[in-house]
Amino acid sequence: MNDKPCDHILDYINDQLSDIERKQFEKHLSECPRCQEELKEMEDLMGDLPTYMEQTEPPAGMKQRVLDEVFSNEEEDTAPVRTKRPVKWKAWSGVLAAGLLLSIGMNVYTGLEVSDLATENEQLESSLTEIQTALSELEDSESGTASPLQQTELASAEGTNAAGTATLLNRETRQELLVQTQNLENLEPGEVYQVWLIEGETPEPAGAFTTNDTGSGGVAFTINEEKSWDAVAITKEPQTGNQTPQGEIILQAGL
Amino acid sequence: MAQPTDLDLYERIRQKDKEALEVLYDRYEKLLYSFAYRMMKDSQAAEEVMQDVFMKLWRGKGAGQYVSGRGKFSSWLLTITRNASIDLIRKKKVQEVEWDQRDSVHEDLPGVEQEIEDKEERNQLRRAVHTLPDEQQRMICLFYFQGMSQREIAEKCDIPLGTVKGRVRLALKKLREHLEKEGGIVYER
Ligand SMILES: [Zn+2]
Repeated sequence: MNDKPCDHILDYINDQLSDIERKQFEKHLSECPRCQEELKEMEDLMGDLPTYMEQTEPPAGMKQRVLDEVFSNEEEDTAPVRTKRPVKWKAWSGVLAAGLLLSIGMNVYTGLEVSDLATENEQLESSLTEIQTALSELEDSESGTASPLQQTELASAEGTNAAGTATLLNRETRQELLVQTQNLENLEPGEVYQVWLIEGETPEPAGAFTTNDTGSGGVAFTINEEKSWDAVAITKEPQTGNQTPQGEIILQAGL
Repeated sequence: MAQPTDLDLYERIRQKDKEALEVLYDRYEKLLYSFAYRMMKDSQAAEEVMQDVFMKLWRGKGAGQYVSGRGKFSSWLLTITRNASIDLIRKKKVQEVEWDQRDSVHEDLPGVEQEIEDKEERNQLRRAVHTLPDEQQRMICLFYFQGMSQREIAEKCDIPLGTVKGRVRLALKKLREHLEKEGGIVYER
């Protein structure tokens, strides 16, 4: 949302950054004396304000309730859960990680200028790992209403070693799909990789992207929740804006 | 035998020592609850915040991880309490979005005023906030008590994004000056 890393400081203090943004800011913080000073100042200004507030008597029995809940949740945590994996996009939810996952998507996308193959692959892999960490953290955290986000491996067509993932995220009032790929063939000028959402037999164009010279790319887009999508697929199209696919399917997954 | 320090307790909590969490709970219950209650203006919601804070502390992941060398432990606990409150405020707000959008400039001030006015006269924070110009009161309300993002504050107050930081800082600084002039009850442990 802001251009300069220094501008994130208020949102850092108010905990309004996604995990990834927060990590990025913390990295910046370690290198920026001005932000360090400002943060310290703000923390000093705010740190003990609550001690100037009037004290309130805690409600009876709160200690027991709070601690019981903490310890009982702990026991549940250690049990192997994660049996329930909803299949349809619709059933998926989990508001927390949306911004975070998207920002990973953006990193991958903007990372496309990196020319070094090893670095690029490492970068993508570490981004994917971060997604997985984020997902498992999400699964660990919120109980009750938030069920986990879903991530699906894309299957590649025969004869290619293309790979990728599709991640669904619930972003407040809408749902977004993040698609990340690697090892795709280089595109000719004008060509794009097109993502399709498929309901029954009917594909509908979703996001499109190009790749860098190591064949990595990705895109994030809002999806229409009214429909019950059955699959996601990626094709190579001679131009953007195709309403029906001309190219062969390169990657796909059932939803 | 000397009382264990906060850091001793925290270390033991990391080792999943339930008793240590209980000792820490007793030590901070009143301070944290009072603060959560100021933020939430509702005892049930404040208890939810307490729940969240101690859950995070017990799990010790992400925000529940104290990084030593960055401020006092008690300040950190207050910070996660504040963040847990902000989080809950935001969740609850989702259900009140329509109201929120119609809020006029003065409709959010009562938030702070009422919150502070409800309390007894001796409340230092109340007096200190009231000595500030409206705009500064507002910055404190939106940033500190409602935990809004920079962008939200800019939109709500119709000021450039780039000026929010300076204004918030100035307001907090002025508030601090007033508090220090009066002298505070410093919470020591
Ligand atoms: Zn900086």
